[in-house]
Amino acid sequence: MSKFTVYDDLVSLENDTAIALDPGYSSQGPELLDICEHYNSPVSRKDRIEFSLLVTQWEQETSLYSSLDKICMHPAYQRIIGMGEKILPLIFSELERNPAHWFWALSAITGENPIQPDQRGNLRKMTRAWLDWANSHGY
Amino acid sequence: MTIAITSPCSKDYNCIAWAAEDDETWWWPNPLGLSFWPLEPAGDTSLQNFINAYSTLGYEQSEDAALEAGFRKVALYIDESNQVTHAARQLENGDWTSKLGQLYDIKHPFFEVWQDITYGGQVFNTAIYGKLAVILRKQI
Repeated sequence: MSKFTVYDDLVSLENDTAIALDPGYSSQGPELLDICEHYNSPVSRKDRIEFSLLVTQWEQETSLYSSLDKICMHPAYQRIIGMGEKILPLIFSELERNPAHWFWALSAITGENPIQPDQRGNLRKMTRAWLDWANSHGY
Repeated sequence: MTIAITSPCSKDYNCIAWAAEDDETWWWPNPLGLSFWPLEPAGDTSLQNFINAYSTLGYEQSEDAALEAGFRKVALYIDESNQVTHAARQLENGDWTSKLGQLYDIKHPFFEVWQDITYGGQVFNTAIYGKLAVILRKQI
């Protein structure tokens, strides 16, 4: 599993390299910032970058799993849950852009579950239910 | 027989659904109701819970994975903790089909034990699917 740490002005990677958050410092910088610019939210720059890196890690390391437990208990996913309510706008943006199994995290953070029994397992319907919930709650 | 990718990537369904011939739903026993399960309550990830789920579709335990006229077969796989990891379904010609997590459907030979698969220069770490636990069959 790859590891990283987000600082105020750079992301330190496990392989002793770092990505500067100012695009002038690194060739990887602009791409990373482009990803973060996708999100139009009041969440801090540091949180947006950390979220983006965690999502990439989670997607890469769970792509072969069918087990919802293994997908949602992945350390990167759990770390996103640990970021709390402030990260909800980014999860909703990601859910709208690229529907995936964000429902466990959303339920864990909000304490809500708008998914109806007849929607269970249908990614598109569950996504719609959560995006409707987001709209009605000001996200 | 070689392995072939037979579909685009999809997060709409998983291997458990695909083995049940459903390509629109994510099947997994989840107590929070975040995925589909044909039994209520959903229960755990034990082999018996999955056998019970497929029994709702008419599947019963079978002796082997051999092609039998008039029957469809499903193979269930478990990890070292005896938790179900994967399901595959036999095709009419005796090949097998699997959905790889949130990725593709593939056509493949019957596996007693999964190994990593190399396809088109890509390595899929399918050894995580573990070993065969049971073969199920239903009359078609």
